Amino acid sequence: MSTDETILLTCGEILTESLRVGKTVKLLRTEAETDALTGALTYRAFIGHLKSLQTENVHNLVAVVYFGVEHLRAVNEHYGRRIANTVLRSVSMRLSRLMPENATLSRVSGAEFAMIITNVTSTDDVEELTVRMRNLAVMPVYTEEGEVSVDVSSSISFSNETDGFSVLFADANAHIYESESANLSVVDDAEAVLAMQNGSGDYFNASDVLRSAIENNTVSVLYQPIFNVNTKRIVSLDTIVRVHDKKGAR
Amino acid sequence: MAEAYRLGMSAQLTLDVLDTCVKDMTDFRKVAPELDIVGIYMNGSELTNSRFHERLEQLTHEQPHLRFGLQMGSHAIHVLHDEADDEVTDLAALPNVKLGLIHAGTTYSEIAAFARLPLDFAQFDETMVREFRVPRAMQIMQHALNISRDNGAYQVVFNGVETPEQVDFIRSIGGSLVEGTLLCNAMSANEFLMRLETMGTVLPDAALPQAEQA
Repeated sequence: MSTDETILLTCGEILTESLRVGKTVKLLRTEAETDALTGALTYRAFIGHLKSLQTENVHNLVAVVYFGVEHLRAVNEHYGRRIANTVLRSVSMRLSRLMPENATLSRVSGAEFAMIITNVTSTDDVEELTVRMRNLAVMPVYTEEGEVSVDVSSSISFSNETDGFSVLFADANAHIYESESANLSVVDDAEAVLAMQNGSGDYFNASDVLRSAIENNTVSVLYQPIFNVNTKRIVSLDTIVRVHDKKGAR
Repeated sequence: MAEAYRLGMSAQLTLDVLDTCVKDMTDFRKVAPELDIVGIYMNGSELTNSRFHERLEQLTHEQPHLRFGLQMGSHAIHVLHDEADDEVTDLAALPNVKLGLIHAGTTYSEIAAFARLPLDFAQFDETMVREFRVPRAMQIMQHALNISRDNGAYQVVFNGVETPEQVDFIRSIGGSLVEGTLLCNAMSANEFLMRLETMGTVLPDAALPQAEQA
């Protein structure tokens, strides 16, 4: 075998090994960035994706749509973790079904999903898609324990020319506060795994946020009137509590 | 320990909300004296908290015209457990306190609480109102209203009303108390005060255009 052939053979082996290692790393990375319960990406992958989009092109209009599974704690307590997990999986599958190609879905906390949509051309389209996804997600889930009601809240954040992606990151943090406050110590067997996947350093302590909000008087109350539609008058008021961080994010 | 701290903090949060409501309602009532009841969400821990009980009792003297609708979700009812029912019943005996069940109609609501606690109102969950065309949801809401009318024991509120069709349905089954974005968005105290000063407590006809035509 000539020297050239030996060099070529060696190069081929190195290339093959490099490809094999690359595939393994990609597989491991995919596994590490995928939530085992729902198949969605993890919070860490979600933040990583946002950061990479920010680096790639600040002019790319990006939307992040949050879907929160409400009352998951109650479902967990009534029916057990297995049924609560079924609800989470169903919601994830339903959201994925209507997800466009330029979007990714992540499970960013025990009971909340976030969808990143890139190259947004119309904010109205995103809003319309959000309504359709939410309407599908809130259909009752039929489980071995019978029908389980599902409620899903949604909200949207858009990047903008002035602030770039900062609003998206601020909203991501605020959502983690709220979601973890509402569902503390809930969810599935994979919760510990999820926390590990996400990296505890990325999470904020919800109790600290709430304590700080109370101490700093950044808890605000909104009022929603209850009407009597026969007399067409306000008969009482309902209250909605909002917890803000120091920057005013909710 | 951490959990106890968290629960203590939750009671503090409700106390803060209660005091904010008292202050804001005092302002609202200067413009609309007929407004006398405000609903406050209970997280459960405050219902067995002595400071919360004392504060509500104190308010019966300080603000005798104000009433507070304490809204109980499944979490609050779970936190309470059976042994705390007496404490909550004492609380409900205060003249300024009304107890109510929220998220009614869902599989996570605690309809059994009606057997345990002196509830004054039930608030149908927005998911039920959204599904008003589904026969099962329709029947549940209809029957709940029938029972409330027969006994006169509790009021029924429909939460999350977003369309005139939902209002039509609620009227058709004899319901009248509704809240939702169709009629009015949630707003800050200042915004609500401004609304009261300009429109009073009246619901403008424009808020129910299609329902009026039906």
